[in-house]
Amino acid sequence: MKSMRSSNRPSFPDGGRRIAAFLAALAFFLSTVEYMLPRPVPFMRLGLANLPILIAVDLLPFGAYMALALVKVVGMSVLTGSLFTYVALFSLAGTLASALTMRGLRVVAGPKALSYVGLCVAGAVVSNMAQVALARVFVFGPSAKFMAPMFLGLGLVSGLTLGAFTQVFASRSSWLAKVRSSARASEGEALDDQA
Amino acid sequence: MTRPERRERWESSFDPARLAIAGVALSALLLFQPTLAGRVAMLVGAAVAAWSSGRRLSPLTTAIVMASIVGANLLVPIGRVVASVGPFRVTETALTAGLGKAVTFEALMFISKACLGPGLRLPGRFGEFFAEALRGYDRILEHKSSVRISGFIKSIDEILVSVYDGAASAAEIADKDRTVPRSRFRRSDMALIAMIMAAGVPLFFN
Amino acid sequence: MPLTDRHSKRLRKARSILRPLDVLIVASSAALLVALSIAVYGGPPSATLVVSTEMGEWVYPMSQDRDIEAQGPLGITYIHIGDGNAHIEDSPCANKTCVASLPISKTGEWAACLPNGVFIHIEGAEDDGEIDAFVK
Repeated sequence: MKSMRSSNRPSFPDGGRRIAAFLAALAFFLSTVEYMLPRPVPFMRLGLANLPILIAVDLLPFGAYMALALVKVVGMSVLTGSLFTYVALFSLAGTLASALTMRGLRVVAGPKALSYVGLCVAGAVVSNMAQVALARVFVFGPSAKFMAPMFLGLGLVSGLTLGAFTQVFASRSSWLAKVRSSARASEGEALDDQA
Repeated sequence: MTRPERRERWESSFDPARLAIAGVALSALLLFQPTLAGRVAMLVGAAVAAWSSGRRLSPLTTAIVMASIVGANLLVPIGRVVASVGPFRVTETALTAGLGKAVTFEALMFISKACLGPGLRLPGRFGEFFAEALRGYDRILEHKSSVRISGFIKSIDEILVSVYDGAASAAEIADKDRTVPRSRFRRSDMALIAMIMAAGVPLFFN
Repeated sequence: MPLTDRHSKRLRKARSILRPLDVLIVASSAALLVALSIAVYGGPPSATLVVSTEMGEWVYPMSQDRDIEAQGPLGITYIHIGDGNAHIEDSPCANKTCVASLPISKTGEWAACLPNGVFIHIEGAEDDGEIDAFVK
């Protein structure tokens, strides 16, 4: 079992389901917060709702991680009333692509070689490109290529910002420290039981 | 009738699950509409429904989004030249394609707004997971006022710590009383079926 | 001195956040951004085929394969765009010189079926081959 865990993610008795649900709730909440914040540029979105997914890269087992990504998309689409639209489709493709990219990068490189900044930039760029590709098919036609550089640039900027923010959040959050330590404690108990 | 009143009336007259299923069916029928006229008709119907549902709508945003979709499609000229402004040519095929996509985009938006309510419970394990996330969201929302821009991280962290401790016990209680009574056939279901059939008619006459 | 001190401290802090792969990812994203911008905005406008008949003008991008039917007084002239070339495939005229003519692909080139009043030419790109090859 131990060899399954490549980076030192804690293990949870329920497979991380409860933390995943809580992180999803945090994502809904952060998107509400972002909605209230003033925007410097109309298209500019920081994507605060992706902070929980970033945190989850190093926290949750793969199943709970993907469930979190999926429930984030579905939940936000239900809350904003866009579940049956292209917007939801774009956001599904973007989120799944970036979630897989970030998880894949983490397999290749541990936290010492790759921080949340690089993870987040890669995720944001992949997500935006996936969305432009779908927008080409469903909405804008061949002209979508004129938007690709702009969305790539926005992804780079928002990825850098959110990545740095997440890095600071992860190092300071007492909640995260608590989750990690309680998971370790329950892991220790489980080992004791076996012994 | 004010918007909150419309919303209340809409939500009390439909079964959330059936409304959502009708939304899926209507969205699919929209995508298979053979003619632009059919899509425009569905756009108008969906706009009326979305207005009646009392969801927040923005006519200005709708207009801007539709205009930019049409504009983007015109950038690559295809088909008969209908008009030309300087070097820019408005072409028929590109215009029809752009209009079709813009109408479809916004009609989906309105269908979605009208057919998704807060009362919707998704089925299965994923649905339970989703419901658990929503309960957490509600509890975090109660602390919304304590979010400050200065010390943003600290205020978020404090909320998380205080909500997380309470969540453990609440989750177990909430899981118990979740047997949703299956409601009987309602008059509003007839309206949903009628809408779906009306939207399906053009598919058989092309 | 305190200023540079603070500066180097900030630099150290930035280093402690940025790891080797971060730099690689950010740099390659930026490089991709530059390359994409040049490819999209820097190249010549894409070539279009203009079909003129008595009925009006039709425009098609040369980059997409397509069959076009142009209505003239004698009937329909069939034009095909494929692999960046446009060619008159069939026309209801007597001598069929248009059908025998070579495919056109560069800006300014033209072909016509005069009896049927169908004239096609390419406009848009300042085509000198090299730029085109670079963009593709």
